[in-house]
Amino acid sequence: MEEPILTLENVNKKIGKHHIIKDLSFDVYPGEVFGFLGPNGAGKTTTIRMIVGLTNVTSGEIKINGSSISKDYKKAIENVGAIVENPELYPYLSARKNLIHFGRMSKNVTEEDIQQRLELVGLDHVKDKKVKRFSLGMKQRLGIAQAMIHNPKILILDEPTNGLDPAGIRQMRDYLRGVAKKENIAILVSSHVLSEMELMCDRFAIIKEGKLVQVEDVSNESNEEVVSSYRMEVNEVEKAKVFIEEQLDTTVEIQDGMLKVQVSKEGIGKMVSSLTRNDIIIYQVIREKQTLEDRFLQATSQEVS
Amino acid sequence: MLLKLIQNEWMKLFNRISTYIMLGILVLGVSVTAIVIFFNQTESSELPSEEEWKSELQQSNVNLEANLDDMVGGFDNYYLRSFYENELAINNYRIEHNLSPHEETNVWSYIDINTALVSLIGVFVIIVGASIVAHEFNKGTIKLLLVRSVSRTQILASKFITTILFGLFLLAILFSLSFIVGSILFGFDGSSIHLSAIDGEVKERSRILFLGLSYLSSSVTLLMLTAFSFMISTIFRSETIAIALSVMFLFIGTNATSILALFTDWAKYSLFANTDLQVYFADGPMIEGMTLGFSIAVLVIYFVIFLYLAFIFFKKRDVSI
Ligand SMILES: Nc1ncnc2c1ncn2[C@@H]1O[C@H](COP(=O)(O)OP(=O)(O)OP(=O)(O)O)[C@@H](O)[C@H]1O
Ligand SMILES: [Mg+2]
Repeated sequence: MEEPILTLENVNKKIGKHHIIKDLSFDVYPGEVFGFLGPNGAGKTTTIRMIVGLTNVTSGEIKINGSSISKDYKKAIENVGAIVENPELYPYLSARKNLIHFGRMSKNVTEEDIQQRLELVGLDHVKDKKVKRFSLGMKQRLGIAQAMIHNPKILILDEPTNGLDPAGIRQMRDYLRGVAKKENIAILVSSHVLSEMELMCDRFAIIKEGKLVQVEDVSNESNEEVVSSYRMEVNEVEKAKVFIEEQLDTTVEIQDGMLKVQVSKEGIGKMVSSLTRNDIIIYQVIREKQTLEDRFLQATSQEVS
Repeated sequence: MLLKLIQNEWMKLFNRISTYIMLGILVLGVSVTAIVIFFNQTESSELPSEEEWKSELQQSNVNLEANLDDMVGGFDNYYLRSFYENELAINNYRIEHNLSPHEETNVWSYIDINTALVSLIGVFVIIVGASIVAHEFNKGTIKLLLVRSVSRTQILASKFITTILFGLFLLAILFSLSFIVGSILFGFDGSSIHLSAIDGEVKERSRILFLGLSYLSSSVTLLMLTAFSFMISTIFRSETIAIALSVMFLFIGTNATSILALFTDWAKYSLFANTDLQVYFADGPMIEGMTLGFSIAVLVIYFVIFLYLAFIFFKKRDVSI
């Protein structure tokens, strides 16, 4: 297994009496896009602030590329490119000058690197325009270019799709996925737009009230073992229900004249063949895809499991 | 690394309109004094004759000697005494070498007059010092600035150095602009020698060098107030509070301190009782018992406290914007 680039170990944050982050632990690996989800006020921004050293960790440890952010700040932060909340750049400087500015703050950033980044985020044609005349989408892209100017190993983006239109979101998504795979960079993104995260991320963590609720793969439905819900349209509903319940020992619900079962991928295969062998005609089988949104709501709502 | 950071600050400073407005106002100030002086200049015909100024100096020597005699047994102030003695020496030197203290308006006297514009520069430098940190917080750019492998100390240091460099830059502009305008409008018909005396011994010095030094020494207050406004803006993260407080101190600090001095000796520890170092070479310090060394020590202590607080707050604080 590859070494994680970012590790959080039992991280806690207290501000005054408020315990904002509670025992948060997760890892992010090179080349993956890691979603960081949670309802408003869950503590996403606070966590990101701790990761980039803008605020202190109360207890626990955050390591970036093996270096602790609290003990070895310079070495740890070298590997990080970040946008915290909004992409706040200097409005009175041009896009190019903004990049020159941040480039000077790291070693070995050349004029060509700057030009290349401008082209990659599609801002080459407006590079000498002042940032105050930029649209939000352009600012977001410049923010990404700024975060990547020193070739970091991990990108940390707080709501990068905030305020973008669907085309902009798609562009951002393709760009980030491309970067993660091509340059083997880890990307941690927080967002509220769940359908978006689903398409962008490889894995995600859900937090609620500062506690980690779950970490999982986005595409875990394709896993053979995982139980999903299927709906089946058959010619004789009642007969099929009795057959499945008695022979296959699986509970069946009937909904809108269709059968509804909770089985694994393997289970549904067996079920279909045994039904057909018993002369029940199957018109269609639909897997009810549980969206990230369902999982998110399920994970964050109280005591629904 | 620090050099690159200063380069960055300089670039940001000179991409903001307010910087150019300041430069514009300074140029305007120089033009105003040029016009006023041009229409009120002393012509050579108005200068007193050789006998007139010589008797004038002799009269003043009589007064100076009387003052020195008064001191014996009475109130004896080291600074006043040496001031009188040096003045006496210079006057005698002038009479001996036929160097009139009067002259027609010329480039040097014009540059001297423009020393008054240094307090304008003071205001500008306070504004820059106040906004150079607070601005990053207002715009939120501080976050992008801090999440780099550059220490917070280096970032703050680069900002303070840039502010001081900007002050020196404005002083240089004022000086050279005054020189250019003055030499065109008033010419060089005047003494290019500055007379100064130490322990009763007279020395001739280049006047341009002396004027340059007097520009720099008039910026002691400027330096202290810059450090002050820098500290306030770093702690409160508000440009407005920093500018308001510092400009207020710039204009009323000295007066407020002299009022305070009427009630208590503690006023000598006030910053403003110590910023004007020239008092030790002229009419003596505000409060009895103060020495040049004392003032310099007080200034250094204030300066270190201001910067220390600024750095401590900047390093320790969580950035939560
Ligand atoms: N400086 C602070 N002092 C006290 N409480 C704070 C402070 N900063 C944040 N909080 C609290 O911490 C919690 C988490 O805030 P945070 O901004 O991290 O949430 P978030 O997940 O980013 O929310 P959003 O989705 O709205 O951006 C909130 O309940 C907030 O009230
Ligand atoms: Mg947030």
